[in-house]
Amino acid sequence: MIRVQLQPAKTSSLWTVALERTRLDAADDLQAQINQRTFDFELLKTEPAGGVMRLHGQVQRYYVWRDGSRIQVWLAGRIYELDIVESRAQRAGAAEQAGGPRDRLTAPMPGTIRQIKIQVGDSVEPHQTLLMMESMKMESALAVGHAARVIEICCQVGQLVQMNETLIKLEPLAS
Amino acid sequence: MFKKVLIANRGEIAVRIARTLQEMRITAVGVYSEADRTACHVSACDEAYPLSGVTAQETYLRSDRLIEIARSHGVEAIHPGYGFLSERADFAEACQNAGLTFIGPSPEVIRAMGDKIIAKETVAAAGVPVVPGWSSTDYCFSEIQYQADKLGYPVLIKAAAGGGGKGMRVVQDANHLAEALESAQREAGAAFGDGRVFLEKYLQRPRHVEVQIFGDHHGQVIHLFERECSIQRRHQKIIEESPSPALTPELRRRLCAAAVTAAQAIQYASAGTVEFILDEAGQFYFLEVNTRLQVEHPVTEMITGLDLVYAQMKVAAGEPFPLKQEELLQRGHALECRICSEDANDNFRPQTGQIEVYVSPQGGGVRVDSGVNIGSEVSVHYDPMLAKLIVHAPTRLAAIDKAIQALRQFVILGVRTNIPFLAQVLDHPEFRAGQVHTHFLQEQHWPVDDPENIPDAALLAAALAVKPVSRFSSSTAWSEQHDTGPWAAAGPWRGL
Repeated sequence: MIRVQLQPAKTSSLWTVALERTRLDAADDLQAQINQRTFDFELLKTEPAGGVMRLHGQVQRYYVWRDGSRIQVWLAGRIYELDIVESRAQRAGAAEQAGGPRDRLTAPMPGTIRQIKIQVGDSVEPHQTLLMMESMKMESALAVGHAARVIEICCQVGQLVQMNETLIKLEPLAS
Repeated sequence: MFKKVLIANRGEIAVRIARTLQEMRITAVGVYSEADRTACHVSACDEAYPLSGVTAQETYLRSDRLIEIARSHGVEAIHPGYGFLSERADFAEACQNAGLTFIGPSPEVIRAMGDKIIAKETVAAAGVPVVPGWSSTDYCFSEIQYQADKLGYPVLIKAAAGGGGKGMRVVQDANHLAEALESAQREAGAAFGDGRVFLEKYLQRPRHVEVQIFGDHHGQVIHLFERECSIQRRHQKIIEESPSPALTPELRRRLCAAAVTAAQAIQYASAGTVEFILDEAGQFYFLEVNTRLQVEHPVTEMITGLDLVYAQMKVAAGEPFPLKQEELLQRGHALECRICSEDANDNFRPQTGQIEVYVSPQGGGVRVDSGVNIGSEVSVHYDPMLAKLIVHAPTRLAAIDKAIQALRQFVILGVRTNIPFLAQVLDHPEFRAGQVHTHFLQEQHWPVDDPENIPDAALLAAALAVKPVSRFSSSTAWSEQHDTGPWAAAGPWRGL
């Protein structure tokens, strides 16, 4: 399950690409959503620098190279350069996950709480989705990078929260 | 035949020379700068020795070090490739003095042809047409002004020691002559240590057509037909082909005969190229002689079926050229594209970095002479040309289509290359029609790819590069999908 915002180099347009497995037992059957369009595709093969996919009835080989936030894609003789757009909020969140406080989940960006997926007392796994938040029309799943028990939920669905506001209080657990 | 030959070069040409030497059971000895320690040409050779330093000046141009390495490892001959020391008469002489065979013409020929004024006078005396012009050792400005008027503007100022467009100026009218003359002399002086310049009539839309010649030490001089190299950027050829679409059989016969006459006039004994320009009326004029193996020599190899490095080795060892003129045929059509690390969307700015993905095209009639592979470092120190794609097909249009198809299969990621631009040029209606001249690239408008036009598959490939599918959160995905719709459970964004 991933959601990525991509921006072609030297443009201001934005593509939101979300990918998801459609079947639990088949790793290569995927569903994609690009901006508002949804369609299925098959990932037939993956390699460190590329792969083969079947899309819209066509089997296509591709190559990719990622250098930081810049991605070069080779497809059918053409090269596309795309930047991964990480919002300021996402960067803040990543920084927090890297070394932020372990006793709470804070809002990585200003936005609206869309869904709360846990209850007080739950034990959560590292990277388990705790809540969904919407910001600038983009939905993000929030999680922490370690196992924890939920002590208190400090927000409600529909609530507008500020950046760095505490959303959930946690008790870190040894995983 | 020689047992051991040193290749005083790097990149694709060193790899290509090593290949032929090994076919001939000659031990190929390579040399490398510190930056090239792991380069393709080093492992392509049977032995390789380091040249301490990084810049060309410190390494591949160090004739003393090269000769020292050759002598201390039992080398009998040195192949200079192109560029670097290939047209340095003093290096050819130093090889001779050290008892080594220089694979190329004699130092005297290199020296004479390196001076564009002498070269022009020599071939003109043999009856080969030269571009109308004027040269003198006397730089009285009023005389130059008078001669320029007589030639008619625009005129071209060229450096006697010239090459690569250095010291070259187009002068549109008399008002700009003094200024252009001064800057050309200054530039030539700085580049070659020789500020002498001469005047030539400037041809508006000429073609560049050259003839591959070959002489041996038995008095035989033959030609291997022409190559048209009109597709140039800043005096650098980027696409070359043979036959030239501009030549009739009659014109080809006269052009090749003129090249042989020029080569005979200087008793040429090795591979060389006589360059001409061809005007719109079909009149050709001698330009210069290149006393080395050219970058574009594979075009000639494809249409004649010969290996020019093999022939160079034979001739250098004193054997006659392997074939007679009447045995040589120009079969089908060959085309070469130079693959360079430069960004066509950013004014061809050279690109440096590491090649992260490299897949070369395949198929009948497709040849790739490459100096790089996955992991190769493209540094600022050397030429941006990475590889050459050469194709061979029965007709010109078939060769163009084959080249476009091969370019579409050629994958290089990590550094930007001119591959898409080359395909764009080949597919241009005027190129396909053979209507080209040396200013073709600068006169045409080359639309840049619309960066917003991205196929779905490319976006999906990019998204998969952010996070491989094997690392999608999976076990919870199925149930969450039913609870909340497909996009609710987007995984932790940490992996982004």
